[in-house]
Amino acid sequence: MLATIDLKINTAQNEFKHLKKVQLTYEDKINKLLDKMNELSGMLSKLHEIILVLTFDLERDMLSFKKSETAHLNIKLLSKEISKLLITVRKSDLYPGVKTIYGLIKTENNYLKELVQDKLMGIELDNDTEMQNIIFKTVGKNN
Amino acid sequence: MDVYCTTRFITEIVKLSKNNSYNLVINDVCDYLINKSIQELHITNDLLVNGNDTYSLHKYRIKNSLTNKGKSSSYRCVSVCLPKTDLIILGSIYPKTGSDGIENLSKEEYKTIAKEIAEGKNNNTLKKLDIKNKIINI
Repeated sequence: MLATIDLKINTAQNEFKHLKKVQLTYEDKINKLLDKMNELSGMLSKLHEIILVLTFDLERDMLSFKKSETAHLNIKLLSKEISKLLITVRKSDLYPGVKTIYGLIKTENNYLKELVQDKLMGIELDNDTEMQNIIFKTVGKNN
Repeated sequence: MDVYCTTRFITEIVKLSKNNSYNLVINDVCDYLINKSIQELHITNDLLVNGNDTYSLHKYRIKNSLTNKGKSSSYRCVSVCLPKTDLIILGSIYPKTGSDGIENLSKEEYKTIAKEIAEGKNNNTLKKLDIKNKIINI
């Protein structure tokens, strides 16, 4: 007759065997998921690189950006698309690699949005009568 | 080149410099300005330039030397540049990110800052910023 402790060990072993079978089915799924997450992380790194190059080019040629009639509209569209993508990616941000790059892209995308807003703000201020009076008051005494 | 500050700018920069995340802000502003000419500042990050090129309103992006983040997370400094008189007037400064971070200013806020700069200049209430010694002469 088996001792009570042996029975308990036996029960635990059987339960473990069952769990092991379940775990084997998950192992494959987890590996596939990790592969997908690595792919996502790689894609986001590439996107980050594209945005960095774009902001660098914009800063180097701000004058052309300001003169162009379409540049700010195109950047606004691009930034909107990036925002949409980030909303989808946010669900995966528990994965460390994705989480880091997600934060970096978000910051750079906000910067792109700011460049567009600044250009529009400049046009608004330029067309504002009160602002023109302020400019006159500021330079008036010098000239 | 002379650099002057409004009362608002002084209040903001003093407040920021008491925060551990921003306590090198005065150094950062001076380092940003020290090796630049008025002409260079006149064409950098301008929001608005008047027709005869005697006035420009700017939002300079000044890096916080305490963080590794780029310009996108840097301080924003709203200033007026008067190239013909070799004068820069700093009107407001705020961090973009962090505990005191501010998103964006409205048109009315820009106008208020520009108005304060005009009043400060005309009433002689502006304070000089010694960018070499990194001191505001209050």
